[in-house]
Amino acid sequence: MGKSLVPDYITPITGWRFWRIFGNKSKTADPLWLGSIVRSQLWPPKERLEAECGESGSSHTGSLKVYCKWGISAYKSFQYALEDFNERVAKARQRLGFEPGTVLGKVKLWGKIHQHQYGYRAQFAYPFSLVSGVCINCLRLFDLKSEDFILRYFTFGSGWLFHYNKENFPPEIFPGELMCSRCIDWIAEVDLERDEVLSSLEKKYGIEIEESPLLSSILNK
Amino acid sequence: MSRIGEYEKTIIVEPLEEPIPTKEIPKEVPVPLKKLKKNL
Repeated sequence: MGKSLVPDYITPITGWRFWRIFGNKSKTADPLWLGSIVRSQLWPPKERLEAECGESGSSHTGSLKVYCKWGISAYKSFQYALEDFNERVAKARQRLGFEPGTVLGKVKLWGKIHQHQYGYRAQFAYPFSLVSGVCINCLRLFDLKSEDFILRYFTFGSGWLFHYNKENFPPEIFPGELMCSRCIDWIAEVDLERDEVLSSLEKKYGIEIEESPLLSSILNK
Repeated sequence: MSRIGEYEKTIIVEPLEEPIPTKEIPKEVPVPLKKLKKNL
């Protein structure tokens, strides 16, 4: 980052974004990872993620271009993230598919940040907290902090291959699917229980599990 | 960029400290009783 530029802010910006959960099937300690929802990329634990230019493969340090399509994206608010989620669910119901293991949470952004109407594209980012998960069966956004859920590893051949290039991941890493409390009875196989999922992600990334603003607004009414 | 709308402006954010949790969470190391007595 160019030191000659006077910063506009000296505290990170907080945005909202979706991640996908990936995991190590071999039951190692803290087996879960957060990954990008549109790119085959895992987010590094306890290290910042830096935006890269997909065209040249080079780092964008100090030179993130305004109209470059890359940059780590996030929404300005929970409401904007929710609107995008609702649109994606509507599309998913038409084509019968949704990215498995999707979670929603807060992300800290810094460096050079391009501000858009509803969100940001940032040079650097690190996850701050998780609030909601998406059930792969009913496509409902459920509260991670207060609701029971399970994770099972994605099984190949079921047709759910969204933005997932196996070659970009270590061989033991697989996408996870979340299933909410209302749908748990539909399946026989459970790889990780709720507490194991949350504890793994909290420890690996040093992040918090927060109550969803949606739930807070309902409870405060 | 339709999901995040039209570009508005670019800002520079240089936090005094990067918002990344420390590698290891420092824990209080229990002092053995023998060592504690010696130091008294």
